[in-house]
Amino acid sequence: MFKRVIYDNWTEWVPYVAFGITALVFFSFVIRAITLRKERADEMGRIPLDD
Amino acid sequence: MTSASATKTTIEFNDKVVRQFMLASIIWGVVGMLVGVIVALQLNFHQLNLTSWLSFGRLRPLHTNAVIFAFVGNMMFCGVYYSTQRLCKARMASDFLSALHFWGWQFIIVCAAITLPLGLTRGQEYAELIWPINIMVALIWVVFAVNFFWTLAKRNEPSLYVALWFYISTVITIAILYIVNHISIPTSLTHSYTIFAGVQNGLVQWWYGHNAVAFFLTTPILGIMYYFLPKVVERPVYSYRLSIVHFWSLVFIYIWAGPHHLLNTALPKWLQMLGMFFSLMLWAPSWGGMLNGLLTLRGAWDKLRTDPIVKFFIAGVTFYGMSTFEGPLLSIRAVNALSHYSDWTIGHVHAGALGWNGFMAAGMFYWLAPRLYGTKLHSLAWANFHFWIGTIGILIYVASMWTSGIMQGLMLNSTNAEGTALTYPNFIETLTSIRAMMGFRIIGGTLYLVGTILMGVNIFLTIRKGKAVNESREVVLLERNAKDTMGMKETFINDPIAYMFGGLLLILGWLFLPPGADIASLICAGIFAALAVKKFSEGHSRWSRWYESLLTNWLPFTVLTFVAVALGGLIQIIPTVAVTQAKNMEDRIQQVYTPLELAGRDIYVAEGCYNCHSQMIRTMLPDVLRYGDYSRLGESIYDHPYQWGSKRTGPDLAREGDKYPHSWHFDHMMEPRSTSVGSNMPAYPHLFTEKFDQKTLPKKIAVMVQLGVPYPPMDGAEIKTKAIEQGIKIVGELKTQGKAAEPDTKIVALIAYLQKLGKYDVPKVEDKLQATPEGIPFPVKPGLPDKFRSASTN
Repeated sequence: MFKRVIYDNWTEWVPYVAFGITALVFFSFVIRAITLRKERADEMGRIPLDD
Repeated sequence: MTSASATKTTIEFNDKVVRQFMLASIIWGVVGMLVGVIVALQLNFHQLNLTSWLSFGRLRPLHTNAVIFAFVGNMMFCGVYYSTQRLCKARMASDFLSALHFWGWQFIIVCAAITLPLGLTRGQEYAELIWPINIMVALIWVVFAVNFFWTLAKRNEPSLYVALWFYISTVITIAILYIVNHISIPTSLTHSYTIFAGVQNGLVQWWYGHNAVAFFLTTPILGIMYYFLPKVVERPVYSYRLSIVHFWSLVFIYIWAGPHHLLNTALPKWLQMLGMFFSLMLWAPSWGGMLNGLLTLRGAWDKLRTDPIVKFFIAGVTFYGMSTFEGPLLSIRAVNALSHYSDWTIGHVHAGALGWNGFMAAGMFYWLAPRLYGTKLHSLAWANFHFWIGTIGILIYVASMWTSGIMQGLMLNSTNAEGTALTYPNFIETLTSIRAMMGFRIIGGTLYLVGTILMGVNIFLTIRKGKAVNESREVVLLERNAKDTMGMKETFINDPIAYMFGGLLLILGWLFLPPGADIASLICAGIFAALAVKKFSEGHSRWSRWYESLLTNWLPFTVLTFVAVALGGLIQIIPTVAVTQAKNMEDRIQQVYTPLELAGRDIYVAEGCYNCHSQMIRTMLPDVLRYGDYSRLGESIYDHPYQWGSKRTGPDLAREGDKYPHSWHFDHMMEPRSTSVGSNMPAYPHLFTEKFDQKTLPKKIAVMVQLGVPYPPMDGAEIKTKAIEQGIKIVGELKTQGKAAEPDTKIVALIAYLQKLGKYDVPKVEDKLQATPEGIPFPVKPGLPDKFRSASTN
């Protein structure tokens, strides 16, 4: 299997791996962003303006 | 922190280094763009290749390196130093390190500006600099990193704003990319061979090259966007939540996209697919970021009419959106078959470099200059004029390159209805048809350059009427326990990390374990995912607290960012690099270069021939009809560095060997138009008088042997004798064709190399059976595409 790494296409599942990894990361952080308290988000967003 | 007992102090920011980087960026920007206009002129008027050190092949790397590392690099450091101090409410940790960083970086640029025209190069795009300079780059980057992280450690603001996240990802990732891609073994003070060859080299090079775009030209500028845009429009970023998704999705996904630069080549197909899919996925975070930037202007759109700084920022962010739309589009294999090796890619990168990087730089400099010199901008009208002339310049440039690229791509790929013959078999015909577009590129580039010069003058006059000022600010000193309280144990031994990495390991097991175990691993991954969901629903607040803590702890945040960016690279690179060995090649293995051919190859690299000629016949019918049988993995397995190229201003040379007699190459190098009417290639008369380097040949071959190239045992004298003997043979053949040359001249070595291109051996079936573990189907059938080659066992 390992040696075939330079010759096999694995067309059947490579797209699913790419989609799965992206979806995992994307939705993990979407959930994280949604659950962030509004006050905390506002506070963080104002940091550059805090002169 | 805000209690009555809180200690206040006044700090003075180190704005001197900000001013220095700003001025350096403007000066190098003008230089880099001027060289760009010159090389664009050379493409239209070959006579402008005045001398060897001013030829296109040597100046084009100078242009790209100057714009990327000198113009954008200095601009990025300027923005990072300014905003980091404000976001941390702390002066940079060390004035000495700041100064060392600035002067060290300028010294590196000067070294590059001297060595590249001299033909001292590693022969890989955006990684051309020779090894001593690369060591300096690594050291100065470490200086920057130490200074940056030290400042984070002594900050007086507990939270790490999103701009700092982007800077952290830049510092970490560029260090990894640069070091790995530049690992070389020196053969002399000015020359080295990369440890990677052929497809390994291509994969690592574009992992680096693509992510240099991502983490040098994009993430730091996004950090700058997240800091400066709210400052300019005086309102917070549109959605801080969106910035979280933007950051993590971008840094995690970007690193996987490199192989899209090698579509339809000999690169393993699964890697091509991964590169393509991850590039497509990048649409989401990139556009999320763009919209976050644009919508930050909510309620202040009227400023677009009056404030040139807002114009530059908004146009810059819009170009970011356009480029990040076009990039994934070009990564679709079918589109790439048309666009790759053509001017379309050149148009794409200039939309990013001029529109995104250049306009963000202009907006930031116009905003910074009055503040850094305690005065008003000399002329808002000039800044407005700069915006418009720059925008028109970019549009002319990009539109002409799109037209040129699509037109030439269509012509090169056009065949008759049966697919048995090319419609335009003469390459020069396709080049001639795009000459007008290449002319428009000069106009567009010149307009943009004029705008940049105007900005330089405007800022110079602003400086003259002002005086350098360092901003002082009263800050509340942060108590020791108000930041960076999270230890490594707390960072890594917890449910979110355990489930994330456990799941990833099990998925990797599915990919790489033998049949049976792979399915078991996949089932375990599914069970693990279900457990993670259950744990999350039980302890949602605990998971949130862990993430929340990261935002006030720079070290764990940095380590996690490192893991996020390292994963993609490791999974793509390690298996391919480990397996791509001559013993694993199933059909063709490149013939080893003789000493003279190796010397010729080094001349090919030094002259920058890879800037216009590829050595990779893609798995596409038009490529095969035009250049011959498609290139195999094993056919460049001894090429340190690989020379697959990324642009075909001239034809592919992968099977150039024995295509023409020696005299054709002789005449072609002396005056390309004598053999190829209408060519825009520079003439290389100096190759006919200069001697090739015999002295370092033994060392070069010793390094090749060290890298695994199977040279027979030879001592130094033998190597030199072999080189001269082959030179004498070529000179003899040239003489019969009516040409005279000395056997130790560069032209003879180059002819030897060009005539070797495309030569390969086919391993004997019994050798392969002996070297192959049980279960791998052999023998192979050379000449058949990969997909037909795996089933036969007799």
